[in-house]
Amino acid sequence: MKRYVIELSLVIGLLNGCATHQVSYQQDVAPILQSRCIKCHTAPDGSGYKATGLELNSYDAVMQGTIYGPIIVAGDSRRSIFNMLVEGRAGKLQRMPHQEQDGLSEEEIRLLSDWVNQGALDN
Amino acid sequence: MYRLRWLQLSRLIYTTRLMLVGNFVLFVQSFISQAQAYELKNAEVTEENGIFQIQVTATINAPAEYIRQVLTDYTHMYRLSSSIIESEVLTSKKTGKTQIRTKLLACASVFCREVERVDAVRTLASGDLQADIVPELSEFRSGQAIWKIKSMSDRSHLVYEATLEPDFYIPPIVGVPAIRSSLKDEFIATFERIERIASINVERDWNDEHTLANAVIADNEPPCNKELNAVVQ
Repeated sequence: MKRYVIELSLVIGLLNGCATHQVSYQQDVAPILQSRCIKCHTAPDGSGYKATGLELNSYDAVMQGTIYGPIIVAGDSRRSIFNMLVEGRAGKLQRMPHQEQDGLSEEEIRLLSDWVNQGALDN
Repeated sequence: MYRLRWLQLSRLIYTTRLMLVGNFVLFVQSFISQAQAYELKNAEVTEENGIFQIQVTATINAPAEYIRQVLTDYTHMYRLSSSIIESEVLTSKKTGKTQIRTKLLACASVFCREVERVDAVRTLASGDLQADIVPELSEFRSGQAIWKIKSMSDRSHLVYEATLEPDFYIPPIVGVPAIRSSLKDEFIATFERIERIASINVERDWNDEHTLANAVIADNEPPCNKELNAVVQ
């Protein structure tokens, strides 16, 4: 009996280890936006803001999206324009951030994608 | 006592003003949404021997040149459909003509599949737009789409006609009716987006301050502004 309990605990432990880390908007996402995106996506003079009305300085602004519509589909990073642009899925010219040739790091891209897939929460 | 009554009176005036302003905003919003609603005339998807035929017709509340601008803004193609999960503007090595590569997340009922396609696009002498699928680069045996745009003063008559012959297996459990229904919903949503984007662009052109194409980029602005300006040009 004791052995089964130990094995069960091991299995649960392994499953927990495999689960994706809960991404926090405040701790993980906002710092990326702050350091890599805000320069252009701030009202009223940022070029990104002028082009599409997109502000990235708060959770509400991110979720509101551009004047053409939302850029995040909560729970679905593949359909989210936000992820499409930072991942370069809309072509090289559209890749964000524009001013940096290499774009975001793999780690930053993964965090943003996990955050959206986990529901794009304000956490 | 006198002060308390005065406070109550000012609070009442403030609340009434808020309600009046709120009602006015709601009234304006409802007016705008009514003015923007496009008129769907026809949306039909049929299938015969594995070939899908699509026809959608609508009257759009935006001038023809703006509709054309939205449909030929290939770098922002992803704005037109939530099914587009990848898009890229290519130039054919053979012909030098513009090609658009898209990856779509095609869903029918609960079943989804990623589908790759490349279209050779061109503007016809009439001003209509044509897209021909490049079969060797697509998961379609053949396909062609035509956007017919007819000006009606401030509005436009827009017709989309397409034939699509998928080159991938469609499991019977998915069913042709589910695909037809999903394609129909997809194109109705795309027409809505076309109207929305065109209307916004019309509005923006009235206000030069917010039109990036007309903005003068000063030399001392951050590099991102220069880069973006280069992209737009």
